[in-house]
Amino acid sequence: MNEGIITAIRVVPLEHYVILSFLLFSIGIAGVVFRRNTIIILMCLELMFNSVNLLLTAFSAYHSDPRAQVFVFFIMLVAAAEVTVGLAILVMMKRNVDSVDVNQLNRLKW
Amino acid sequence: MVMTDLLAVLVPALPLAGAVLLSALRRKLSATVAGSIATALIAISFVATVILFSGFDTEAGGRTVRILDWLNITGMDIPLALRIDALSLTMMLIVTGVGALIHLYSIGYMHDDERAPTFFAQLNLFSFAMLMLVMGSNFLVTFIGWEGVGLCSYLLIGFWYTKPDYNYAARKAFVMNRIGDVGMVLAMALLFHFLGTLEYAAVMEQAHSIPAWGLLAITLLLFFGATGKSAQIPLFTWLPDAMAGPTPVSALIHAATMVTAGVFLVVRSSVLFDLVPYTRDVILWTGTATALLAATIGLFQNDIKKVLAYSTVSQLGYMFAALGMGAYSAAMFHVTTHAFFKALLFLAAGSVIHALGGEQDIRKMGGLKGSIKITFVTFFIGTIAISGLPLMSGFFSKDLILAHAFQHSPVAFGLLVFGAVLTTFYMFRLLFLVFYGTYRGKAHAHESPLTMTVPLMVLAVLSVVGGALNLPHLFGGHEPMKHFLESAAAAIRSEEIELSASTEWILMGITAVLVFTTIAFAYGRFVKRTTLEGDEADMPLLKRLIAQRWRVDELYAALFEKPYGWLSEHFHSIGELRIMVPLQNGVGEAALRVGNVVRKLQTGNASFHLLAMVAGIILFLVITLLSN
Amino acid sequence: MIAALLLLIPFLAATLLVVLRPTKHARSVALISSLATLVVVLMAWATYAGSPVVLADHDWVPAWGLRFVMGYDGVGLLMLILTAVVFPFIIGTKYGEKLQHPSLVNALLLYTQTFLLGVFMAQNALLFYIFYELTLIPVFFLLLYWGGERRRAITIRFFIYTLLGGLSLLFGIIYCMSQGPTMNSDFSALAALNLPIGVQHWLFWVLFLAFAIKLPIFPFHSWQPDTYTMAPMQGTMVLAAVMLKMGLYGVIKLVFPIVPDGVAFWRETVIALSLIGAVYGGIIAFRQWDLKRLIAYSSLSHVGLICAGLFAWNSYGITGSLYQAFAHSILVLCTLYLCSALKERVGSSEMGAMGGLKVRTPRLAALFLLVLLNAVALPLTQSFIGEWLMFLGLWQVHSWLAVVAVSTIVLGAIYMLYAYQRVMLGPDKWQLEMPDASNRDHLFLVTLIAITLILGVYPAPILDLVDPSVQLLLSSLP
Repeated sequence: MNEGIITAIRVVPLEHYVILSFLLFSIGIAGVVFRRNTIIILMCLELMFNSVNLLLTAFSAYHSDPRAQVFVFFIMLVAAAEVTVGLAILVMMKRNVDSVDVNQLNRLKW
Repeated sequence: MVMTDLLAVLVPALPLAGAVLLSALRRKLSATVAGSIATALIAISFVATVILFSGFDTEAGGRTVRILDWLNITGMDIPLALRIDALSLTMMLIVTGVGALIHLYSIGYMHDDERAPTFFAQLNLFSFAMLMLVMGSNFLVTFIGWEGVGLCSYLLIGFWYTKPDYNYAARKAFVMNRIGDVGMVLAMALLFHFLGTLEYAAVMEQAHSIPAWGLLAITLLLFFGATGKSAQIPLFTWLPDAMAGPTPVSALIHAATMVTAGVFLVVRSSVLFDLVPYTRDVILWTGTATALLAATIGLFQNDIKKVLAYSTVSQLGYMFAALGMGAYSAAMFHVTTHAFFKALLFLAAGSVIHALGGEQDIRKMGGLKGSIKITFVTFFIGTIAISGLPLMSGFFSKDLILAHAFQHSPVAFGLLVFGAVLTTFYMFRLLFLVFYGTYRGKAHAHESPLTMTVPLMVLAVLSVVGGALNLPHLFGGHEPMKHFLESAAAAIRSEEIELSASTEWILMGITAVLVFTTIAFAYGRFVKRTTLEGDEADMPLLKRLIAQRWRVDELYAALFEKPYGWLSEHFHSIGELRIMVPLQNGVGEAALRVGNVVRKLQTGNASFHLLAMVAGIILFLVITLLSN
Repeated sequence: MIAALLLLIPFLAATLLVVLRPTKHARSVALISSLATLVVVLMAWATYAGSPVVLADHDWVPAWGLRFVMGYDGVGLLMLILTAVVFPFIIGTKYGEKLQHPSLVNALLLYTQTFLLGVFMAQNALLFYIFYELTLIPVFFLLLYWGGERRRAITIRFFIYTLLGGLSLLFGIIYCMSQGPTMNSDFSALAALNLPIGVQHWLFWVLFLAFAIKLPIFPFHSWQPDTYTMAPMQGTMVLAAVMLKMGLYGVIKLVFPIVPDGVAFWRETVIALSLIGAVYGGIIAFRQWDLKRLIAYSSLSHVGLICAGLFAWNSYGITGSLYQAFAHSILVLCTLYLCSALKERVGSSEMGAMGGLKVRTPRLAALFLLVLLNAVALPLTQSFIGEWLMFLGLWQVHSWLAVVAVSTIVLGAIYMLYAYQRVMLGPDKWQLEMPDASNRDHLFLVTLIAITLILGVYPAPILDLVDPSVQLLLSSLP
């Protein structure tokens, strides 16, 4: 990675990255748990992914270890795939029950 | 030397071969041929025994003939081996000798039975087992015979298997014998535990090293085993029922041989019994009690064979009483004479039954002395022999026991004399009711064929002269049988009668007078006027109790048989069906129920699941943090 | 070589049957295979010199401690002989003929035999476990598809119950491996573990539970009567004559060497339970009306005694128990065969439908009687040797235990004679026309009875086989 970018990242103290990631992750969790709209839930999932990505990048820069960034790419890849599936489910859901409320999906039980 | 070993093996092997041969060919042989083969084989056995006997040197002691390694593992060496000594020879002579006569008799008796070959096969098998019993060189080989005779007894009692009563009697005999066998097995286990061997010779040598409690336990257990086989209190009720078998069986198994196995066993292990006076007291009083109990029951029985059966139980009681007093040779003497006269009585009774076409009720007999003369004479001889009329064989053997009793315990003496009086009474009642007076039945009596009467005559002669086998000093003899047996059992040497000659004469006089008085009384009661027992319901209480055999059978039925059946049913209906099965199914049902409760958590509501997941993660985090 | 032959002969024959599905010659193929197995085992016996034999020793999955170690000592060889002797009879029995899909039945039987032989040759605990559980699969199908009334419920109960015990055993084996220096589950490695006493106390039950259920001993027996009654005759024969003996073998190979202190601690409890079972089963058998159920309860009684003898844990007890195990196998074959023979003639195994059959079938009655002699352990039959040794062994543990054990000889006599009377004796109750024992009946029963009598008179072949191994086993214990 470019030395300049690393110095730029290191301008901000590590704690701030951690706190920011924590906040983003918490927002994501809260959204997943408390919102009923499936689109919002999917977006909140993405938010959590990104908070983790952010943290990985920050640690990577601070520890001068590029391996974490490889993971970030993996995660982005997986997230993209997952969103595809998720949106497909969403479309099917809209077609079948005419709603995107997640609580409509309560037939998945015993 | 090899020759005698071969002979010794041959003695039990011949009847065994006969049993195998006859049961294999049982469909192809006629009754007479099968009977002849069986008789010939046992007769050859007898001859072999006689040769062994004549070549036997009492000075040299016994010989052991090892046939085969049987149980041979680390710490245990129990061979299949035979022992030839004075004791086994005595018993072998009885078993093969009396056995051969009874086989011969059976040819005539079983002539018309279509399953006669099977009968002879089983009779031969019995002879084999009985010979193993008396010839075994260790307890376990004796036990082979011990169980074997039990089996044959079972088979022969239930020989006419289509009658449920007979089957029940057979089963009863086997099970009661088995109960006794528990004692025998435990005694053997205990002996082996202490000594590491079951060879008679070794056990007798090392007997002193067994601790006192062990000796007590062993002797009591052995005696318990003996009560089963020899029909003593408490296990005597099977023997009268065993009369369901054909009469030759009753004569051979249930009078002459098998039932004396208990006596034989005690004499065999007399060294052990000599060390434990307490057990001997138990034996003495059990024997005396049995002698009296059975004699009283014999007074009012109406079945000719039942009377003889109770008489057998009673006489066995005498033998055990003798054993209890340490008079082992006296007991063996009585075994021998009893084998003669009781076999004779049974066979003669069989001849009567044969003559009357199967009738056994003495109330329907009477006046037969004219029509079946040989049977009458021999039966008469048997009766006076068992009653102990002077100079008969029973007189010497019973008097010897009575003399020992007088010396040992006056109470026992009194009771046994009383028993002898009862014996005389019921035997003469039987004799008079069957042969005197007028005939009360319908069948036409006819004398039995020669095969049946010849054994009767031989046995009658033996019953008369059998006393000579052990003629006491008083009559100029020198007790040959006792001296012969001394070489086999050391305990016999110490058994002496220390009464003066005059005392002995007086004792004999007393019994003789009592016996004659009783005969006179019986004559008045049964010949002058024929007194028949009426209905049981009309009898006074005590008499009814006795006529109903002291209700011991009913007692046992109430105490053991019924509770056992109840237990069997309820173990199944309650133990299995109400406890075990529900318990097992309960485990499955519990799993189902827990599942029923827990599955409610699975609401299918996605946000609830997500909430639960997050809560779980947080909980996990908290636990991890706290535990560090 | 021997290991390969023993595993391959039945396995290939079975696979052949499954693939080709011949209906006509299925039984002949199976019979030839089982006889070939018998020949191999007898050759192994002839060459056995008294010391343990190793047949194969390969790594398989070293990370799990699973190694392919095969071999046998006297005890194992006895079990191999037992399996090899019993199977030709099970396959050849006349009453296996009428089942549907004979090729499948015979294939399942041969698979069972393969796995059983594997169990008795395995010298590695995990390998043992794998074979031990594999035996369950063919038997499961045998019971499920060829069983009688309520076969689904009973088979599944049997399966789950046995599997439960098996899992407990697996857990125990894994635990033992984790305690060792290397992940090695060879019997020899596990025997050298020397676990602490506290551990041994609970580990004993973890290991023993599987065998307690398989045998079964008293409180774990409730699967047994139903299963024996419902199973097709050959299935019951396999269960009672061979599979049950895996329990005994497992105790000797796994429980005794690994947790000796646990055995010492629980021994009297196990003996007491076994004897309760022996008495309990013996008493119940008396009033049973179904012959097969009577056999099931009498088996419970016999096995209780065998297990008690085993846990006497001395040379007489163990030798007697193994001897009696052999005798019991032969006995069950005979009794079950008789039961089927009667069922074929009468149409039911209810004794109420019988009675007085001796009038019509005297030869069958005579055979029944000879079998009965062995069942009540009369001297000069095989059972007597075993029982006598077990009584001695138990006596050394505690005299009262021996008293209870010996009293079972009375119970046996009571129910067997009563059964014989109800079936054979008495008046000809139903006047049914029926054939007497055929030549094939004779071939089957007389051979087995002959084995019984020969080994009762001359037990040396088996005793000499077992005795050194038992001494070795005992000498290695503290």
